[in-house]
Amino acid sequence: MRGIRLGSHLLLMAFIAIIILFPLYWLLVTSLKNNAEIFATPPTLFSKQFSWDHYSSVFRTSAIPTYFYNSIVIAVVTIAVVLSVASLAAYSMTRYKFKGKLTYFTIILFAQVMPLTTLIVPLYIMWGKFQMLNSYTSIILSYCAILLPMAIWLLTGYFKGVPKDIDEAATIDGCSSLGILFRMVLPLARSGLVAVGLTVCITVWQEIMISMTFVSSDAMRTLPAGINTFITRSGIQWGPLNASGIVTTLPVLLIFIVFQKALVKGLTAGATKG
Amino acid sequence: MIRKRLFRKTVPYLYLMPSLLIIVSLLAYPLVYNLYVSLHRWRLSRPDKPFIGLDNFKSVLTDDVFMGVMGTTILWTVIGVALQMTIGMLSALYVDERRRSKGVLRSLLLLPWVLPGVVTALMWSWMLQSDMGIVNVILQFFHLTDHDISWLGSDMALWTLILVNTWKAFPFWFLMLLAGLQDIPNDQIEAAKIDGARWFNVVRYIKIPHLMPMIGATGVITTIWTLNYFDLIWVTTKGGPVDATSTLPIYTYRLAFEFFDFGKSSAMALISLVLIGVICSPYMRAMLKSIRE
Repeated sequence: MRGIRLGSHLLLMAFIAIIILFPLYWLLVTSLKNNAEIFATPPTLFSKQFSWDHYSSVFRTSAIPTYFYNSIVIAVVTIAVVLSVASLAAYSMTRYKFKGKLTYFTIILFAQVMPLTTLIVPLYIMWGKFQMLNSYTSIILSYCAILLPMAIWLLTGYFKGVPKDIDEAATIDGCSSLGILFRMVLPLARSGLVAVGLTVCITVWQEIMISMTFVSSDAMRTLPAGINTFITRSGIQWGPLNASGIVTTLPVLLIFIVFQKALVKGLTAGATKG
Repeated sequence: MIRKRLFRKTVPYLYLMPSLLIIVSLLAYPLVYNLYVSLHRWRLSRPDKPFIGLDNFKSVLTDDVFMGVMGTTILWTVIGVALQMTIGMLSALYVDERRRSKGVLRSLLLLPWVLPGVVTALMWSWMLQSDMGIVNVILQFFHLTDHDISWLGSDMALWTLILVNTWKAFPFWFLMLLAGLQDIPNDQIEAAKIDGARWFNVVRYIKIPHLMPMIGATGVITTIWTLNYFDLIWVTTKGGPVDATSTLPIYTYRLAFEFFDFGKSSAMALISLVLIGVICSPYMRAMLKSIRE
């Protein structure tokens, strides 16, 4: 009886592992096959000889390195701006009583459910008028606007968890209001900052609608938009495409492995408390 | 003294300033501007942009494509979310009862969710190629089918994409429900088991009622996400073949950046906004109530 149960569990786990991992495995294996093997019938389950050709062509002859660089710059700056602006707002929301707080929160809530399609046309016209299409600034600011409400909402939850007694003690010791934020609240709400930062990072890393609309020059494109242009060209080159897929996935995967706990905590915190 | 008090009163607003600046200039103003565009005949091919009142809304709503798009969107969202919920619930129940392998299983099941959407899309479209895709090869190897299935052809595409999206999106349900399940006090379940309750009854009378608030919140969030999801459909089919996979966001985007009819696209975007507002108004009301308390 026990043996049967253990066996069925193992079977179920193997099934889950295959369903989740096989697509990723296939992406990796395809990227390591040479062109003849990619299109071979029947397809080979393992690549017979590893070939790094697609990777070298991706890194040497395509614009993928540029896209990669752009994605990193945009992600880093967006995270920095969103975290600092949202921290200030969340600090104000949790430590002060003021008129208009509820209105502000309603706006934050509403902004979170606004579909991107209501913003894309007006923003496109706006950036066009300022001659700021094809620039880091327009992309980064657009991302900040979209992600800010979520960040403020999540951080407010985290800052609430930092006891207010600490503020009073710090004030008596001569700490200013900003000092309390930087020396007390932020360090104590570190896991919240990490969770919000990660969410922003993952979102920016894969966003395509804004990046493909506001950018038309190859020099400014981000990774997802860059790969997307790969696919629509006449005749899809599956080898380099799979290789760039791996290149795009790796950073996110590494971040996920390192920060998994913080991410899980951050995603579930709001819901379990609410 | 007076200056000091005045200062104390303005401090909270000072902290809010940067965020307000961004929200007003890059969310509120564009939203109003969107309304303005929707009331004009606004095509990139024409320099004049006359005011036409609600004509854009009228032409969107009476468009033949519109009803099709609405139908597709409803199928895509309702069936998609139902599938995500079912699979998320089953996997959460399963993992919750595994003591030893919980950590490994959780990381594994979360993986699709962190994968970039574009990569998911190209990975699956490579696997689902009708002539050389691995999925067809596997199905034929196990004799489940004897011909090549055209997964992204006009009669299959929507269902295929719903399944792929389920693969990508169910981990969020899994994560939320798992967190909820771990909150249930163990003694309740133990007591029920001692009373002779079977697994199914424990799930039905203890676990699911306990998860209800979580299911509600996650349901609203994932409904909005699924309704607005753009990446997968855009990268794999661009709404085709022949609008078979055109959902609201895809069609709205195409109206603007393929047909260059900004007015009509803006009207469509506002219709989506109203739709989403209706869907999540009970949720927003509950959120606001909890904040007021």
